[in-house]
Amino acid sequence: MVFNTGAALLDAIVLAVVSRDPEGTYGYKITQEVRLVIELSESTLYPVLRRLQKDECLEVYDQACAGRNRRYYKVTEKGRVQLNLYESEWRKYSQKITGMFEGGIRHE
Amino acid sequence: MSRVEFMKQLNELLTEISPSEREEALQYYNDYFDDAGEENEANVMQELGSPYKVAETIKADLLGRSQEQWEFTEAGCTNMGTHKNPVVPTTDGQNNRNTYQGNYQNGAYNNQYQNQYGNTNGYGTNAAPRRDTGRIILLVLIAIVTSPLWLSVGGTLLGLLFAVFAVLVSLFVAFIAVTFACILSGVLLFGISFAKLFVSPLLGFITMGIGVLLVGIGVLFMGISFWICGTVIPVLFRGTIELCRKPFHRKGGQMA
Repeated sequence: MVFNTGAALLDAIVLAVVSRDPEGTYGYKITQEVRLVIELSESTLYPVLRRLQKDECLEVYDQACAGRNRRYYKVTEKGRVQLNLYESEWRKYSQKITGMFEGGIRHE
Repeated sequence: MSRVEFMKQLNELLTEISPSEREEALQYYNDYFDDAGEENEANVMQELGSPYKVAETIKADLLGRSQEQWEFTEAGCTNMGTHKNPVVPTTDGQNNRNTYQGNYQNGAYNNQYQNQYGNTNGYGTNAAPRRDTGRIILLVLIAIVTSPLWLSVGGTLLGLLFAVFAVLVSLFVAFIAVTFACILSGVLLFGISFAKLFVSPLLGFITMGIGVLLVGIGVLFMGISFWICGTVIPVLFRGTIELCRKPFHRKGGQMA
């Protein structure tokens, strides 16, 4: 990809992916889904998830699955608020950029 | 390399970080291998790169956090150090939006991101903890080499301290004994003086006076004993504990 994905945008994408599963989802699946939209090495996601967990945007719980415990990630109330913020900021940001490309934004 | 080997190496590479962080990371990658399935094992390992690279990513992030916070405080931007607790907009969205933008546009934030994900200088940032480990080893070595010195000095100090306490405790016991002796004999003399009063009033009054004086001295010593027990010993105890704690506190501060 030509454009860099900043830390805030990556946080936003991860929060969006996790929030799509109300019951929570697990690391491998999150990685695969994030990779649908951005290029990402497999080792990139763990620090992001860990950080979001420490920031209390994500909560984790373990659930038995096929004879072992699998760690699930779930968006917290705080994470949801943060995601809403990211989404509205993204809309403003992308609209401005698009506006600039299409010639709509000019200095008076 | 097999998955087991990969995880073993990762475990060894993460000894620098706290056990809880290590466990978290290992569980994540164990889960990851499990969920990818046995058939994808080689793929996942190829994607992840070496255990070294994975460990670097984990450590760079843990390190990046603290560095980032430090930069924020250094710059005096207390408002921007909110990364640890992400900005949560309340009903008053305006104020928070500003903080958010500050956070997003701040150079430190982006730099840290590049360190983590771009792996441009992720290896360089790892030097700090290693130097720390070296310093700890050096300190331990110095402590071992100089142990005869500080063991004898420490032993002497400990002996002195013990002697002071022993003297104080024996003083306390002696004072209590004096208190009891004085009060008891004083009361006794006071009682006898009444009987003597009838035989010889002069002798009776003298005995009574001595009795009252003895009781007075007894009460005085009782006061001193209470003072030793209630004030001097606790103060000494507190002082000793404080004295013992100080060097460790200073040491901790230097390392942090």
